[in-house]
Amino acid sequence: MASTLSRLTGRGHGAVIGGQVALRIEPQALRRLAGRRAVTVVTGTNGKTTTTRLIGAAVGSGRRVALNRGGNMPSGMIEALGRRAEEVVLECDELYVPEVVHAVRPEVLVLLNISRDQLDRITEIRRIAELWRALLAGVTHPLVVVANADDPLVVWAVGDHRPVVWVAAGYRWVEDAALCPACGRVRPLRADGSWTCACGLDRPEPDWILEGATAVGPEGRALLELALPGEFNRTNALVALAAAVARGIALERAARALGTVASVNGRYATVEVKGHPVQLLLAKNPASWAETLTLVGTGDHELALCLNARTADGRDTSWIWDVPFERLAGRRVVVSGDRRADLALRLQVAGIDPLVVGDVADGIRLLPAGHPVVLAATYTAFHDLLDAWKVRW
Amino acid sequence: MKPDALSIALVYPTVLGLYGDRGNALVLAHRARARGLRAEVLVIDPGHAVPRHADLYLLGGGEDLAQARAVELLRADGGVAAAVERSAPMLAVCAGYQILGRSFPAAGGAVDGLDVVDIVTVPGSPRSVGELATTPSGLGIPVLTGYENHGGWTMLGDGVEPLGHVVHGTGNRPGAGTDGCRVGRLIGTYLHGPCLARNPALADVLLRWSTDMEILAPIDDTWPEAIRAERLHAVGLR
Repeated sequence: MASTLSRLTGRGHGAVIGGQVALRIEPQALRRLAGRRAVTVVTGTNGKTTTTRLIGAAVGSGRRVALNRGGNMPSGMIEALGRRAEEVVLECDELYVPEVVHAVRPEVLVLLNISRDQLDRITEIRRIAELWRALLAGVTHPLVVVANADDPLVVWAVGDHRPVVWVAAGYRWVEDAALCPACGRVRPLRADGSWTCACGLDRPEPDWILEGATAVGPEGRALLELALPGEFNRTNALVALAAAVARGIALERAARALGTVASVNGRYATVEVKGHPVQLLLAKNPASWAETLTLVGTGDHELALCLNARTADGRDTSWIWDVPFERLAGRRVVVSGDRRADLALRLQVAGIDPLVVGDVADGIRLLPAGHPVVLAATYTAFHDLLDAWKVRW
Repeated sequence: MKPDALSIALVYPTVLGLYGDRGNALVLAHRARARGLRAEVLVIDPGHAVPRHADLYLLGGGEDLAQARAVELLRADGGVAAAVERSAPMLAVCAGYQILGRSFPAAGGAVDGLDVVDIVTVPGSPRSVGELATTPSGLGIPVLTGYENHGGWTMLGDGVEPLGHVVHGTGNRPGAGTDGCRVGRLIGTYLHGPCLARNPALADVLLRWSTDMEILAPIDDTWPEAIRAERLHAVGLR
């Protein structure tokens, strides 16, 4: 409990504060509050907040749904579990999955992906896979696992647990999958994304795949018309669709609902800053920053980056050297945040001209008039910007 | 150095590269090019031979399983041991530093290292995580800054010099007061950050060793100096 409290950020969100009090009074609060309601738990390094929101939309047509918005550790789940709702969808920190699954006994557990993030806290990536694997080997209640077939660490974590709904949810950050998680053999992923190892660990045949913008699953096909940008959100939506269908929602209905999500806690919201439309992205590790770069690869989109390294961001900024900024060589990028000097050097070495500013708005003002801007910020930098620009979330 | 280009071998970055340590290769190439030298980074993936004639070798950090696998592959390959044998310049960070020694902890036991440097690493608790600052000895360069994140305690054999003396953080092990090792032109250290992004003077030492150039022209170090001032201030040193 003390560790939970110490990791909470200084963001003073009511849901988190209330949750802390409830947990202190009643350690079994999660278990009691969950009761007999249908719970879906969502976890993974990247995409969990967005996927939780997408599942909430998909299972929410015609039913009352509660999501946790204030924090993804047990204390942040109390408020969501306390609300009147038939369905509860909980985003869960990777390390708390065993504790939460044992307490709330969810119907569905969604496993998105595992890659490097906050290494000062989660010192080894493999530890997460081991935690999940031990949980699933010992879980005794009926639990449908919706899992990413493209991520070797996730597949190894699922182990022999059944039932599983396998989703081809993509695994573009291959840096953390150089070795087979089962046996340690060097196991190069093939160019088409498939993978296999001599020890027998194989990419499972997915139940759900994307064909362009169309989701194809056991229940049929559905066009995904999303308001959220990027290839990564298409795969998040595919996972959400599979989870909603596992909860008994009709495919067409679930697919339509996914298109209603346009921003998630301020993420993907567009604000006007100094005459520029600025789309806000929360990106906190090399995999998610690499995804961000794909959104500015074409057209006249400009990029702005804010790097902090406070507790909630992870204290070590070394990971910025794993982001393939070289793709943007020759361009100019606005750089801000507590650790802007680290980022400025990284970009300079990548052949990018860093426009380094204390206040990111001052940098945006200097960009060519009217150009749209994609702004990626780490956790605390992102929330500071939401406050500064009065973005409601 | 070959007449055409400085070659920097980045050894197994997909296995020994968890903490952005490939940045060391990028920084070295950048600093070489800024002096008008041609530089190429040879990215050596597992399953490919470690080149026998690179001018400089880099090893980075990694997880237990990866570290154990890396040492197995490197022992079979022989390239890193051969590079140490011929005193090629080398920077080995964290897991990469540990595997050069006699043994290190992984997967619940002691794993034999490449045994090319007289150091031994044992499991140490608690894990050492945070800013690390050291005063290097004998290199004529200022204080080193970086970020350490390791669960091993490293002991230096008789006659093995440390890279530096700890002024903030843990380094080799609690109480030792030292970080890393220096054996000829081989440098071992627990400094991530990446190490050479935060310590341009150390990068230039490695460049001088690899190019046999006595003097390197000064280059624009605005950002490395800004990072250093900030990080050293954060640990009370400036």
